Amino acid sequence: MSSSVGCFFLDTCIILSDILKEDTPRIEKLKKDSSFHKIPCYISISVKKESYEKVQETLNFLGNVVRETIKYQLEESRKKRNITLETSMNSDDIKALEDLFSSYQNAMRTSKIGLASPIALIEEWIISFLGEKMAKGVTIDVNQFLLELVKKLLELTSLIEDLYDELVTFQKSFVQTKDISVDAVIIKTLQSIGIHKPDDYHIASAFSHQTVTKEKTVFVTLDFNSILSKRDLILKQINLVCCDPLYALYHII
Amino acid sequence: MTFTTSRATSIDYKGSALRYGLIDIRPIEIVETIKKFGLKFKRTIRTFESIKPPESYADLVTFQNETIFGTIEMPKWFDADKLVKTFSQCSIDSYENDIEFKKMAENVKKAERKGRPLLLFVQFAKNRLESSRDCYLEAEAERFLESNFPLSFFNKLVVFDNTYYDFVKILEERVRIGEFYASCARNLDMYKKKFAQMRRTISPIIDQMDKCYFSYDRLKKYVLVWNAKDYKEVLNPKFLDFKNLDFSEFEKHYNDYNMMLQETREFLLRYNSDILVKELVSKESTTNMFSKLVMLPSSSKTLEG
Repeated sequence: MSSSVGCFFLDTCIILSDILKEDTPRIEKLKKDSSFHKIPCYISISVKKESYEKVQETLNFLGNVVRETIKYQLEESRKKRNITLETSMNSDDIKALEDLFSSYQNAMRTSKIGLASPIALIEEWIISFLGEKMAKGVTIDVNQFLLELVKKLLELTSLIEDLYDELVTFQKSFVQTKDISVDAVIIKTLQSIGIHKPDDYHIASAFSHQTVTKEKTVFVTLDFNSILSKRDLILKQINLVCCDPLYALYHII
Repeated sequence: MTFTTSRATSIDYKGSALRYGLIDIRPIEIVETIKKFGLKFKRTIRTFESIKPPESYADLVTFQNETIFGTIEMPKWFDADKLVKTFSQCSIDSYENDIEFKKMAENVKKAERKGRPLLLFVQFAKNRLESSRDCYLEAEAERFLESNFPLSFFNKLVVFDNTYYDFVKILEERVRIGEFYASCARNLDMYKKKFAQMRRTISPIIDQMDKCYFSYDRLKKYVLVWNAKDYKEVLNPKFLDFKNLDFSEFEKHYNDYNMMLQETREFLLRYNSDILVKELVSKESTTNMFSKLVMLPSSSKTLEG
């Protein structure tokens, strides 16, 4: 293909999926299409900001769960059993954590959060980690256990920081950042059809780009609940195509 | 590269320590007479001498601490000069007690032009960083558990450690090439020229890392001094309480550090565009859990039922 026939504006979930190697076939197809047909992939400043903030927010959330919730539960359970924190962990500690997660799951059942609740994800991570240690016959006390969990998080997120910088900050891969001013009227229109912050800003940036450059622009996302389910409405209201990475190319060529 | 100064090793004084071993030296030629089998021979040895003889490691760290404590707001119960002395002495003690590292740095200056003394020195620093990586992570994790700071703050400090490791790898590459060309020189003039060329290549890299290290060190020392009651505690406060800090002052140092870190990473990329290309093991349980969690809406990341 000779020159660009349009461009892709990527949502936060595409950036995070690429960094974290999630939804790989879809992301790889998008990258391949973009490279083969020389279709540039842009992100707005709002997507750049949201991607980074989501990683930081998740890290801080997990850090607080380990430092406060898990630690407190283990301390309290050991206090009741008259065991010091220096004693090696055993199945009673796992059962104490079971009580903790179970009480949260019960509370969540009455709330509106769906199946993939963060509690279940953290529960699987923590109990599998401890279970593996015990299965290997490794003795570990409460403080070491908490330390190991935090180390794992730091190791992972410092690596994510490298991958984020390569892709977004220094733009060494397939993405370029576009600083575009958005129209407040478009934001209002998007909000009126149920597109909320910061998605409204991401989509409005793609719309502004399309309007200013007259270049066919496709907003690419994996977010079905908030964006793709309203794709017809968005197209009707602001004439911007929103689609899954698998189909992005076919809206341009 | 631990948060707590008292747990630091001399490799903590990275920028300065490497500068001390690699930059502030120049090659010289010494002609000596040796006696072998009853005969006298003249032997020419190429070695190094310090460019700035009075500048010791102690001078370097003291100067660095003077600059740090001259640019941060300090609690009224501390005196800047005493803090400079306390922190500098701690660094000097670590350096003096780290016989292995000290010997490596000194060996470079004494080395004859046989073998690859500069490369050996950088490789020593790199190997030590590799083997200490777990300790650095553990120290930051420990500090997090004894604080009320967000984990993202400690993550930024770990990013510095990783950047420093990338820096040493780049340095190793440059020194390997530079020292090889210098070793092929036919005479001292040519050798000096090649050596100067190598120094010109690595100086800006070390300068950049020193600037970044300064911001990193200043941020950590700012947090330490505002969480200590006296000089004894200042090297290792029991608990790091975010509420003890003046937020705008903290933000100033934190932003400066982040800016410098980003600038340094971008700078290093010019020397090796692959340094940020890393492999993420997506099936690893922490990665798996994190990837799913990060995609959830912000409002769901709470333990409030």
